[in-house]
Amino acid sequence: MELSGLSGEVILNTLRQIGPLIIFVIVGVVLLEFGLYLFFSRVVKTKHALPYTLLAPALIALILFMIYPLVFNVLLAFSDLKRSTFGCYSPISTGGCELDHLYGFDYAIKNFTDVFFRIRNGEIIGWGRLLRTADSTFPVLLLRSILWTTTNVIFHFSIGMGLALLMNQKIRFKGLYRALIVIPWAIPGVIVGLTWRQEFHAQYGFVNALITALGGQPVSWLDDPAAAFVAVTFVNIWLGVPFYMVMMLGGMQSIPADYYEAAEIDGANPRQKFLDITMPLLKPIIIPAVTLDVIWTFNKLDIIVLVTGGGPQESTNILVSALYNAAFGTAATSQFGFAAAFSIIIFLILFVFAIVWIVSSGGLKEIYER
Amino acid sequence: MNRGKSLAFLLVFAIVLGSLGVASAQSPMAAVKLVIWSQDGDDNNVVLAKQFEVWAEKMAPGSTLEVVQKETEVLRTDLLAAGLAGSGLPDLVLGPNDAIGVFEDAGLLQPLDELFDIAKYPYNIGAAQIGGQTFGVPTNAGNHLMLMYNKSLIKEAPATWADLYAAAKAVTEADPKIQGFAYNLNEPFWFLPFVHGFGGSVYDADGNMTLNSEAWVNAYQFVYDLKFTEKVVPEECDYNCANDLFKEGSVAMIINGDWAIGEYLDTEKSPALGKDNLGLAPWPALPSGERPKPFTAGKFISIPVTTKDAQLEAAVSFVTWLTTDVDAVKAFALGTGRLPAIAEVTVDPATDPILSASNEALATGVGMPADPTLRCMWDSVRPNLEGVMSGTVKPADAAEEAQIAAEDCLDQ
Amino acid sequence: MTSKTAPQTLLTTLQGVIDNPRPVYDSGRRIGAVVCIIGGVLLTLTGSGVGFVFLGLWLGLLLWKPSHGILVIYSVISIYPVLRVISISLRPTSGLLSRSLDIIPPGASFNSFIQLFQEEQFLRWIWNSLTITLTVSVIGVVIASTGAYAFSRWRFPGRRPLLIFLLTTQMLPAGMLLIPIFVIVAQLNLTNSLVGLILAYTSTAVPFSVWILKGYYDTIPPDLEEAAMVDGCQRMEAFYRVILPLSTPALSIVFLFNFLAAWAEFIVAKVVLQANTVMTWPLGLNELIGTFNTDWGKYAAGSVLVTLPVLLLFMWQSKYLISGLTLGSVKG
Repeated sequence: MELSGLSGEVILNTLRQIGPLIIFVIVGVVLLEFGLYLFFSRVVKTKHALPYTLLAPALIALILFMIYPLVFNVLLAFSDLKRSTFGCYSPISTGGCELDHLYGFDYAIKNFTDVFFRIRNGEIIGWGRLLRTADSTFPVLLLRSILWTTTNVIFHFSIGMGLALLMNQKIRFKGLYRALIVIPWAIPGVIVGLTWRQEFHAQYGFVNALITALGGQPVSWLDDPAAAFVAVTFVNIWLGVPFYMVMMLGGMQSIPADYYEAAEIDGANPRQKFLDITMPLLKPIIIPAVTLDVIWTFNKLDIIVLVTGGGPQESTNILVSALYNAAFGTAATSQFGFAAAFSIIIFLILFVFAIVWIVSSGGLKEIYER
Repeated sequence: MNRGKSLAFLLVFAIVLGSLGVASAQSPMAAVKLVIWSQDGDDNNVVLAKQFEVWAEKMAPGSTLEVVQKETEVLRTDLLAAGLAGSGLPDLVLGPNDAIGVFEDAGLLQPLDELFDIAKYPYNIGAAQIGGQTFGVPTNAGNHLMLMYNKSLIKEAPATWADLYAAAKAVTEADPKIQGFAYNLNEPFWFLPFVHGFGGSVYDADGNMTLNSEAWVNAYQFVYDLKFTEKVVPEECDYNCANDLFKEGSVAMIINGDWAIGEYLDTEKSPALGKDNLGLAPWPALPSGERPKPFTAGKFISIPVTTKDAQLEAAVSFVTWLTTDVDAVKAFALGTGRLPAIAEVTVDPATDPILSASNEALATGVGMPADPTLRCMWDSVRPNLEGVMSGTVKPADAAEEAQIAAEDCLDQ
Repeated sequence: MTSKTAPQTLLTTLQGVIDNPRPVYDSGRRIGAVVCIIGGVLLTLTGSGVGFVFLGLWLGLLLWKPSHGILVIYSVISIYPVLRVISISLRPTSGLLSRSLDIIPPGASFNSFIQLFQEEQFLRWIWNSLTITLTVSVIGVVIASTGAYAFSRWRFPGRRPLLIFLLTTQMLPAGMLLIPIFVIVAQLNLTNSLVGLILAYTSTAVPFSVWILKGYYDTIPPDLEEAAMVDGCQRMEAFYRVILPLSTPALSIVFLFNFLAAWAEFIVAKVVLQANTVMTWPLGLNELIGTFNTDWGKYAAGSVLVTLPVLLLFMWQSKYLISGLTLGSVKG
């Protein structure tokens, strides 16, 4: 019997694939821990035998699934892998290979300079084009990433904080409001992206239908570069507000009511109460939440890919979506070497930012203290 | 007693097994599992799968074909990535001819000259030939864009663009809910025919890619006027939108390719169309009297380098049968509303007016080159065409920018 | 004509209320609300649509009780797209592209749901997603639970660099792992198997899980294990007997978040999975609105079926989830 593609055979087949994997992991972890513990305590005789043992499975998983791919990525940045040199790198290709070496510093230098500069006959003639239009250059994409990130974070924060303040009063239907407002958070990103893309359709989406019903002029959301950027930013703001609302509300509810009562006795107005009590006490929540949000938003790829695909005219790309489009998108010439170099540069930008931000704000400093 | 019973059972079992073995020995080939990546539409893939069953029953009982649908860009990236990894390539690839150039360039396709009788495909095999070798056999000729109209809304196909505008406006005037005309405005494949119509082409006389000649500028200007001056098309309408509107009768005329005909003839999928209402015609003429010329080629089946031995043998046998057996070609080409790629099968205007109209439109086209650099043209034109169609880029600038982008692309 | 003048009329009516100095007493706001509601009703009667009644009602509420006014409008913004998807899924097959704003479409039917099950392999997509996500979640919890404990309780050489590395992994651009992971999965010949995607998801699940669990263990006083060890337990026994049971909330949060992250993942699945037989539901739904056919009805029906369980879980357990998330990523 088969129902909608699912049958007993399919289920058995899946279990046959997955079962051994789970057993392998669990048994592997147990055996590994025993073996390593004996090794560390008897052979190496370190006093840290137990923590190292406990750490080993996670470490092995990290090395296999995180460090190895990252090293591989760096290696790619030192290669000249692209469509026309495919024959050299593919184990099965029968195409001729015209490269005399596969990996080298010369390739890396070219890949990394190509991210920034457009070079013709050994001369720099402008900013390098990461995709196909004159605007898809590094500085433009960086500025757009920054604009995208700050706009999103500011709106996430202010709307989320505003809603949390409203809900932190004695107000009826609080549970209902909260349940409704967290909804965007609970909807899978694919559905959010694809649905909003349809809803921003100039003729058949509800956004324009609503605008026309209220007497406005319809906007071609997905054909006009500026409107498309507004649309995709709106979707991401819509998506991110619940996270802040929930965080801030949680934080506010843990602030003892006495503080406010005492402040009221001293004659503090609501504004003073917010600035002098709520904000400072929420700081331990605000800083990590903003830090995480900045990183997440800067790296947010799926919403842009799903809603606008980076278009029209490649005008809604930020750095990460340009990277995705350069490697896998429509205008790609499958320049994996270049894309790998590009990805390393994006990572470095984020890393430098994170260090500066974490050090200056004191957020996430617990790793050092504990 | 027990032992006797089980012995008897074993004996029967052995006989059954033996007879099965004999049965399968009679068929020429062992059962195989083939995978094909297809860029064709869903409905056509269903026909393809059915055709495979017909072939398998005769030639290799028990064989299965898994049809994996992949749209153009996905097909391209997935195949390249699989090639890079060295595994995961399908046994067969069905797609438009411009994909062949890319895959051949990457060294992922087998030359087919030794495996197939190339002389059987007289019309369009050239679109799959690179450097004197053949890398794909056509399942059909065509893949060309033409004017399609709903006869219940438009009595006669417009002969010129002026006629088309007038007809489109008349339709909307009669019923504001119905749009006169729609097509995939932002897709270069729909734009190239205009360029050809204005006398331009992708490569100049010396074979250099030239995307900024006067013909290109005129073509950008023409599609700009079509949208912003004549205002006969919906403000924002991609392939799916135009296709859906046409099927439900909300748009009177569209431009689409022969691959969609099968779906339009099916009244269950296209309630407003069917064979009584679907009209096909060549592109209307431009003011100069020239018609826009669509690219023509067809869909081709290619075989990746990893397909070997029994798989290869079965694949070649199946594809040979699918593309040269008269009944099979009738089923997979004509049955899906497309034109045959072999001389043995012809279209009779009396019995099949729709296909013969499609054939007529095909005659107005120009052959699409298999050159892998064509990819650079598509990629470079797309964002600039989008710019013109959103009114943010001037036609002359679009042509210049596309040229620069194409040179960049060729350089990489 | 009415549709253009209607909002203007409404605005002028409101202008009077807004321009007046803000009423000090609630009665002033109530008067404003009543005026708005009457204005809205009148506008509807003159043929400008139900929307204006709602608009009028809302403006009334906003003036009467501003907090409720804002919360109501934001709740509507949150939930309206969801209602739209439900609405599309209920539309009869034809006319999927429609300008209508009705929530319950005329001629509503469950056709799209039936078609989804009959014509698409919907259950198989769900099954594939379910096995992948459950496996990733189990592996994530198993591997991370002990590792996080080590980070929380011991000061060993290499601890700080490792923690910083874990944090750094959260900053990796999505595209950075995409190319190498694809190549690795393909080299292992796992592009047609569920295992390939499981491995790919594990790479992000493990650091995240370790991070959240470490944060939670930190909040459990070490005295608890020490007390257990005084009672004669070994260190590991104390961990299994005392810490793990105490950490059930955190473990289930980690499990749930790994589950939710993998459940809805699209980009990696799109790059890594190739065979139709292992397609997850995000790929399946995306396919439904692919190049050659737009089955908005089936897409919407699938979205509703996939989203509702998660949504109900969220609304039912939102407090619990929130406390869990606060524990992990904030106190981290």
